Amino acid sequence: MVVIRIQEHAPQASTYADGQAIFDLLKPRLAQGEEVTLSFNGILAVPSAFINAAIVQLVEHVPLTQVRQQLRIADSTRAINNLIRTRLEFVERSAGDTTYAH
Amino acid sequence: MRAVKIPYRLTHQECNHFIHEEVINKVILQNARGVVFDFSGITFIDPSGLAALYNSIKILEHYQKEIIFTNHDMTTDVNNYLDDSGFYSTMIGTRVFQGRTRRPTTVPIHIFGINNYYGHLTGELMPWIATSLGITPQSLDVLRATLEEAYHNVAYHSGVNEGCVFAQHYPKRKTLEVIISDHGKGIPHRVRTKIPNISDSNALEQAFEKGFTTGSVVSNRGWGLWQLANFTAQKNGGHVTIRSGQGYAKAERGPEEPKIRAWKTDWAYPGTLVRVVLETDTLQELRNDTEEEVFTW
Repeated sequence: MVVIRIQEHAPQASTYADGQAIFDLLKPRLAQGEEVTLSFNGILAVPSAFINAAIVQLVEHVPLTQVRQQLRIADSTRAINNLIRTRLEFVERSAGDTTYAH
Repeated sequence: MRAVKIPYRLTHQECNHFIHEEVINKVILQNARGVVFDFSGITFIDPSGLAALYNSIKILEHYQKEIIFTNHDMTTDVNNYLDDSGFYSTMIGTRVFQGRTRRPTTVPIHIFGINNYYGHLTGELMPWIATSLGITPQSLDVLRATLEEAYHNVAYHSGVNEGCVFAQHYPKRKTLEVIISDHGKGIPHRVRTKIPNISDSNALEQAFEKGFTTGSVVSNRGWGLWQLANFTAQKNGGHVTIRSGQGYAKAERGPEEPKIRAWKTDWAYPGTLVRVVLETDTLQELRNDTEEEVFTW
């Protein structure tokens, strides 16, 4: 299993651009059916723009069920986990409603 | 040149009137060559008032108006405060009063570029907050990430390249106030690209809604302001207010999610002013959110 350590690619883990750098690493691997571990080691909290780009954006390219099966989140904190869960739960609930973004 | 006397009070309650009447109406709309700001009569200013002064000057600079300060060197409590807060050194390049030092209860006003706010946030603002509260910066990482939502609002939606940040600690009230302001297009303008006829106040209410997006840029997912409100109101017990255009919105603690209310203001605020008021007693508890937890889908 591939391990992507966020700190090696986007050490601030802050902006949408930081998240995009992670997305660019995740998407092709998940699309090819690979299992990937995304490590937040050394990062205690992130803003929503980072999660939007790195993880929420994945759902526009790879089915959510597939993301859940193949993507493992590691070394994360309660704050990070809550943000990821809340964002993806919202994606599921609002699917098909164009007023609201993923 | 137009003479403008800074009002005797300039707080979050008066800042719309000041900018709209004294700056927009009397200087810009009347096409004055410039303005002479008279600081002799002001007796009280708060962080929002300071940010409103900054916004006024940026707007005047945008219209290439000449700006002169007068009576800013009178020894008054407000002039001392403005000097200690870095306002004069930021605006005119030098401190007015020699021998005065930075106040422990304020972090000097800082003008940030939309692509380089992070250094000041992590190197200046957060360490100052941690020192003020006697806790480690790491235990405030959730607050740091939350404040980034307001910076991102400037970066992704204002249409200008910079904003200002200012913060003040009120030890007796046990609150901490962080102001992040810009002189850009304003939130209602952005919301109307999606909902054309919405009022400014309803636009602010809408902008707080979870997942609402104008879709103006790819990074816009409509989560930042909700996240800011949710953290501040629900987790901390504080509140967030936003002034933009003729709208004023407040997010405070609700039963399950933040309660958002919005009002129409008599005068418009050009750009956006985000005011985050935090309860300092509960900030220490956020340390629990930075503990490692096994993630399960």
